[in-house]
Amino acid sequence: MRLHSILTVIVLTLLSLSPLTARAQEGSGGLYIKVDSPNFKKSVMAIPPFQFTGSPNSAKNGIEIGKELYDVFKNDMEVSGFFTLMNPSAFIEDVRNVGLRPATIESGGFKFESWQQIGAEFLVRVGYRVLGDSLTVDTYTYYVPQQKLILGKTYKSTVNSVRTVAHTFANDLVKELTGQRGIFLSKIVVSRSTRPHEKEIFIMDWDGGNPRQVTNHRSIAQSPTWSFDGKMIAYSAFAYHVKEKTRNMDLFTYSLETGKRLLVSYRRGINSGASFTPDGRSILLTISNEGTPDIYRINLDGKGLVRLTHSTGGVMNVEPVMSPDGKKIAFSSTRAGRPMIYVMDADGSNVKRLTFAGEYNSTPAWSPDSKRIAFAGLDKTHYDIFVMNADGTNMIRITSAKKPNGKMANNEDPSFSPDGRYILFRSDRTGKYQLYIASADGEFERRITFDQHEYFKPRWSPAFE
Amino acid sequence: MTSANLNPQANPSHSPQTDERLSRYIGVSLALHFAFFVLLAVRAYVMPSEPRPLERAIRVDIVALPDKQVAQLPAPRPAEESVKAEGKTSPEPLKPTQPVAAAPPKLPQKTAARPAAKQDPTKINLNKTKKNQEAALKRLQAIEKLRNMQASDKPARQQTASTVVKGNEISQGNSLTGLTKIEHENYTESVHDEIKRHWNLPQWMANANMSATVRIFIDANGGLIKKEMIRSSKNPVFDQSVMAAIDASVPLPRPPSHLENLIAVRGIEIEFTPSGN
Repeated sequence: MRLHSILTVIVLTLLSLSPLTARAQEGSGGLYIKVDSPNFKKSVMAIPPFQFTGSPNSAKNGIEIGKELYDVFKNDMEVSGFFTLMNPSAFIEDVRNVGLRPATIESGGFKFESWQQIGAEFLVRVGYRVLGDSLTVDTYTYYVPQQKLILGKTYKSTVNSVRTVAHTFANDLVKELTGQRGIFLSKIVVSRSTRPHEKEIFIMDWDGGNPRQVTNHRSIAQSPTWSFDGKMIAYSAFAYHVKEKTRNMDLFTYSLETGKRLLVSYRRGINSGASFTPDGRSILLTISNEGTPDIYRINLDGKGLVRLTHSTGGVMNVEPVMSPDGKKIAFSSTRAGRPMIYVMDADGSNVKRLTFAGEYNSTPAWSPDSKRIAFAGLDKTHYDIFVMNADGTNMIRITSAKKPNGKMANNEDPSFSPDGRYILFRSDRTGKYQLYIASADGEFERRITFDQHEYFKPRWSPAFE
Repeated sequence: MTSANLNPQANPSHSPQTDERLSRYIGVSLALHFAFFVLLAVRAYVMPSEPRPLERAIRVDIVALPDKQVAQLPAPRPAEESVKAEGKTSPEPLKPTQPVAAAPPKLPQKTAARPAAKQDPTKINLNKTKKNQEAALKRLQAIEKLRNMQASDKPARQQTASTVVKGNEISQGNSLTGLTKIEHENYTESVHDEIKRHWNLPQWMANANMSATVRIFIDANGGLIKKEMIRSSKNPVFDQSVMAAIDASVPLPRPPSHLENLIAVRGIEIEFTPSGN
């Protein structure tokens, strides 16, 4: 009996002591904390006016060129998102009286103190000269707190390429500072209204400069897209089929290197909404010759047609885009009643619905890292651009604008920049559909085109070096 | 089980001995139960076990499209008026003073020859002075504007800004307090949040692959006793940003009493590593 009691007591005591893991959270040296997301702030950059260093008789021409060089570069720096540009009225030193380099290196040079005092962190000094048709630009970029030169580079080109020189300089500076490629030499391909009832395909600089028409079908050319290496575009245009005596929406490709134009798919009905695959060998598009629009894959030579969606009962599957990592295809489908955004594997299997809110979600676009998808969604009376994770979570609205008449403007056709930080889209907030860019978190918007044309379905190119 | 039995010894369930034993055993049993409960209570107090993770309840409505977030700009400070007043009374607030001391003897003449400070009494050019005053005023205004822009830039890039999205609202769940481990974790979290709030890095360093570790010692009120860099990032801009973050977050939240000693002796090790955003 007593043994029994003793045993019981011992057992109970042991039981109550056992599940014990009082872990020492502290570790060997006190508390440990890891901080991983700082607040990012823009750095202050001073860009004093560029100095003309050529001969006085070429000065007149030179001033115009210098202004364009300055404006294009300044715009690039603002959009880079790294810098806040100082207002020139804050400058103490008059750059006309000092050299491009610091006084410690050349006599008559500028003083770092004059820039440190006003709080500049980066100082860009540029001198340029024009000789006949050739343009030479000397650039020196300094990090003022350490009085250090971070980029000193000279660019030689022709007077016609002044914008390219400015963009190249901007790219080089961003690369030097951040290690990432800049996006300033990238381009936009877009469908634009030309004559009444006519639209053609244009290619322009990312900032709207140098627009160049690349089609002349004299009909409606639409839905252009870039190949992943930027060497080719695909688009659709109404072409006349002689045999059938009718016009049809056909798919074309155009090589920017060779100028060669190829008719890839001309099946009856729609051959449109094209996008390239990352391996550059095929194109995804919507074809409707079997009844209702479905998504197909076709090789660049027009052969090897593979059907990826099989709609029934009038369901439409349109606007396919492949993720840059080649794994998934996002598209818009009416299989749930209203157009919604879906993803599927590259072979058409494993279809998953991504959006459940809204009434009409279309034109999906992947971010370059394949992690996010942007799309246009109808919110009662107007379209806005939304961005969500590739699994449909964490949706945010990017745009919200009013038209002059007080109604909400439409913002449509999103396309990511090559570094994933901006989204290009079109908006009718001024009355006509013009091109705009917004930062991918919706903080910052900027108008790109300033004309009276109407723009449709812009796509941002890969980054060109 | 009662079979009437005249012999009390023969029936164990009714003997006084049995009753006594029964009551004794009941007593022992009660005592053991009580001891067991006391033991458990003491154990819970002295050696806390791992608390179950308690998570907040999240309720999400997924039927509405979210609204657009608009960053609020701070109201323009009345710095404009003070700048105007300054401009009128002291014409050269921007006159360089410090750099002159460090410069070689030749230079002071150059800087002293700045037009507005000309000491020549016979040739005071009123127009020129006025122009310089206006230029100085403009500079001050431009700098103020820049500072305002930078200040309003602050909330723009917080990675974990609490976005309230239409239809998606996170409701505060319940969180139990009282368990030491949770208190401990709350403390490290609050220190972490405080320092993160004050850590600023230039945007162009966002993808720089660097990290620095600092050890700090704080007193019972959260004031800073010492900070030392134990692993530098080798980049002066980055190192300077983490030191500034610590300086700006002091005084830190007061440590819970059971951690005071540990923190005072071993300190808090803080690793700064901007992860890819």
